[in-house]
Amino acid sequence: MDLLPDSAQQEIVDTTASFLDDVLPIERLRTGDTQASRPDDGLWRQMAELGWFGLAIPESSGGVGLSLVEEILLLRELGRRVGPLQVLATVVAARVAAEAGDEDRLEALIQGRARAGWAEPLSSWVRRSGVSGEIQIYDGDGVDFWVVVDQDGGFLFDAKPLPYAPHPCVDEFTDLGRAVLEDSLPCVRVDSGPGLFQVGALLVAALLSGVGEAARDQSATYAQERKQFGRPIGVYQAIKHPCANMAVRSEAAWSQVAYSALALRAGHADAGFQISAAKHLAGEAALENASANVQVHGGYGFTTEYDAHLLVKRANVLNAVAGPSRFHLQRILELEPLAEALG
Amino acid sequence: MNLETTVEEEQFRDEVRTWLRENVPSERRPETEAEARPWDLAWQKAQYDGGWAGVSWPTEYGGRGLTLIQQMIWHEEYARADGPYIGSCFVGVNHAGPTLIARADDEQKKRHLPKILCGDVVWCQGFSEPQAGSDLAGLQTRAEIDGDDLVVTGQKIWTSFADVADYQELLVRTDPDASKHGGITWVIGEMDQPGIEIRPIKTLDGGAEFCEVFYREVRIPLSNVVGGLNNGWDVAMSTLGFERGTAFMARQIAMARNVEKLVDLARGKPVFGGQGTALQDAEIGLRLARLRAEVAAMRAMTLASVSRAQRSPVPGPEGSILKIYLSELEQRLRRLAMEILGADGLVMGTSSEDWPNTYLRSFASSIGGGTTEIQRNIVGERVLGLPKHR
Repeated sequence: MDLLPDSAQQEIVDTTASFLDDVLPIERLRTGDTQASRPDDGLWRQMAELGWFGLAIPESSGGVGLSLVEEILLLRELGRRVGPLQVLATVVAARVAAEAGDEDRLEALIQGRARAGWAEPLSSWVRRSGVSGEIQIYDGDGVDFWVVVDQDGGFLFDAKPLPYAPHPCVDEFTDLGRAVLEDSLPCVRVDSGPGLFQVGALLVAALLSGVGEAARDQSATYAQERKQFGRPIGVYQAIKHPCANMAVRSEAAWSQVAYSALALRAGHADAGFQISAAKHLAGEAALENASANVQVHGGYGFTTEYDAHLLVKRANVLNAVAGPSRFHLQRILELEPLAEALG
Repeated sequence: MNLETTVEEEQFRDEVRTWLRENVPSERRPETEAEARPWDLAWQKAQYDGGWAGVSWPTEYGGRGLTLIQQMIWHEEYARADGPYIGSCFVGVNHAGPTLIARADDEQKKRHLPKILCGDVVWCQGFSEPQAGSDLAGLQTRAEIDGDDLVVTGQKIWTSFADVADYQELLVRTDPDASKHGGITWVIGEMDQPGIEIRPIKTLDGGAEFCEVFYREVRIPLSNVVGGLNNGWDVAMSTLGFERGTAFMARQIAMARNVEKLVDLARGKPVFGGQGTALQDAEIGLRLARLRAEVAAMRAMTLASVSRAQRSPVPGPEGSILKIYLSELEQRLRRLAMEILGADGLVMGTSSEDWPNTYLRSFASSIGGGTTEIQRNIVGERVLGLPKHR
C-alpha cells in the first residue's frame, strides 16, 4: 500500500509542473485576456505529444498505457494553474471513443487533431436513439466534440452543426454556452453504466484539489510577504489559523482523491462511494480555501490584480460540474460504505 | 501509488484476526480506576504472552518490530475486534516506553522496558502544570541536585492514572538560569515516594482519570535522568511523533464504525413531532453523509501518512493535520448523535461508551495531546512556513 507517487509518477508530476509553469502559468490570466485561457493549436499539439489525452488509453490503441492514477496527477497540476477545461473534456472524450471502439475519433483526440468541450444536461434529459434536452457547455466554443457522461454511459456530439448560444460566465476564463438538443444524434454513444461518470467526477475532483492547493499556497506566500503593524501578517493567528485550515482541507481532499483513484483502478466494490466522497471533499476544499484566500488578501483579494479571484470563480465552475456536492452526498447516503474499512 | 497488500501482509492479517478473535476479553472493561488497573495489566500480559505486546517496539526490547503497514493492520484489526481501550497502560506502552527506547541508557532500558511490555507496571505522564499548558516549556516544577539525588518540588496537572501508577515520565526544571527550553530534564519518577500527594480531578464527563500531583522535596536518584541533565526538552520532543503517528490507525477504524452505528441509530429513531425517521430528515441525512465522506478521508490521510513515514523515518508535522481533522470529526459525530437522540440523549448511559457519555468526553479530543490551536500553529509554521508568533 502506498498513497504517494512512485519515482516514475513523480517524474510525470515534475515534468507536467515545469511544462505548465512555462506555457500556462496562472499569471497568464492577469492580463484579463480571456483568449489567454485557451491553448492555441501549437500548444495543444505539444500537450498531445506529451501524451496527455491518452494517458490511460492502452498503447495498442495509440495511448500511453498508464492509468487514471497518472491522470489525476496531471489534472491536479492543471487545476493549480486554472488550466483549460478542454483538457478534462478531451481526456474523457478519448475514453468514450475508446469504449465505443471508434478508432478514428480516438486517434484524432489523442493526437491533438480534435478537441472536446465538457457538456452536461441542465435538467431532464431524454435518451432514445436521439437525445433531447438543454445542455450547458464548458470550453466548447468552436471545438469538434461535446462530451457528456452520465450514470448510463457517455456521448460525443459533433459540435459544429448544433446551435450554440454563448453566455457570460462567472469565471471569465471558462467559455460558457448552452444548446437545445432536439432528438439530436450523438456521433459516438456508449451504454456502459456509471464508469465514465465516475471517471469524470474523479478527474474534476483532481482539478478541484489543485484549485484548493493553489489557494492555500497563495495565502501562505502572501502571509509571509504582506506586513501590517510592523510584522508579516502570517505571524498573527487570525491569519495563520485559517491558512492551517486550508492545509487540513487540502490534505483530506487530495488523500481521498488519490485513494479513490486507486480503488477504482483496482476494481474495489466501494469505488463509487469513494469517488463521491472525493468529489464532495475536493469541492468543499476548493471553495472554502478559495474564499478564505480572498479574505487573507484583504482589499487586494477583491481586485483582479491578484490571482485570488481566479480560484473562487474556477472553484464554483468545477463544483457545479460532474455532480454538485449535494448529489454526491445523496449517493454516499444510499451506497453501502467502507466495506473495506469496516471489515 | 497502489492499494495492494502482499501475501505476507494478508497472512499476517489472518494471524492477527485469529488471535484477537480468540483472546479479546468478552467482559467489559471496569470503569473505576482501582478496578481498571489490574484488568488493563492482565490484558497487557495476555498480549505479551501471545507475542503481540509492543507491535511497534524493536525486537531487541521484546517487541514485534513490525513494519508500519503491519502495525496499521494490527491496529485496524484490533479496532474491528472491538479490542478494549488500552487505559492505564497507555503512557507506558505508547509514550514512556518509546522514549526510553530512543533515549535511555542500557541500564534504564533493561530495568524498565520488560516490565512495561509484560504488564507489570503502570506509567503516567508528568508534563503539564497549572501555569504551563500549551506553553509547556514554561514549566516551573524545580529539581535541585543534592548529592546523588534530584530534589523535586512543584505541581503537575492533567496526569491521567497518577493514582494507580508505579512510575512517571517527569519533566522538571533543573537549571532556572538557562533558556526556557534549555533548563529542563526528563526523569523517571517513582510514584510511591514520600512527598508525593495525589488529588483526583473530576472531569466534565464524570470520569476520574485525571489527577493533580504535588511534590514536596521528593528525592529521585540522578541515575533516573534520561538523555542527560538539562536535555529534557529534546528528549520529550523525540517521541511526539509516536503519539501522532500510529495512534490514528486504530481511531480511524473506530470512527468509521461509530458513524455506521449512528446511521443505524438514525434509521430507527422517529423524528420529533413529525413523520418518518431521523435518517429521512434531509439535513440529518446530509450531515451523516458528510461524516461518512470525512471518515473515508481520514483513512486515506492515514494511508498517506504511513506512505510518508516509509520514505522518511522522522515523523513530520503532518501528524498535526491528522490530529486536527480527527478531533473535529469526532466532535461533529458526537454532537450529531445528541441531536438525533433528542430528549433520549439526556439520560446518562451506564457505560462510558454510550452516546451521551462519549458526547461529553469528545470535548477532550481538541484539547488533549496539544490543543487544536497549538496544532494549527504547528501546521502554519512547519507545513506552510509562516513566521513564528514569538
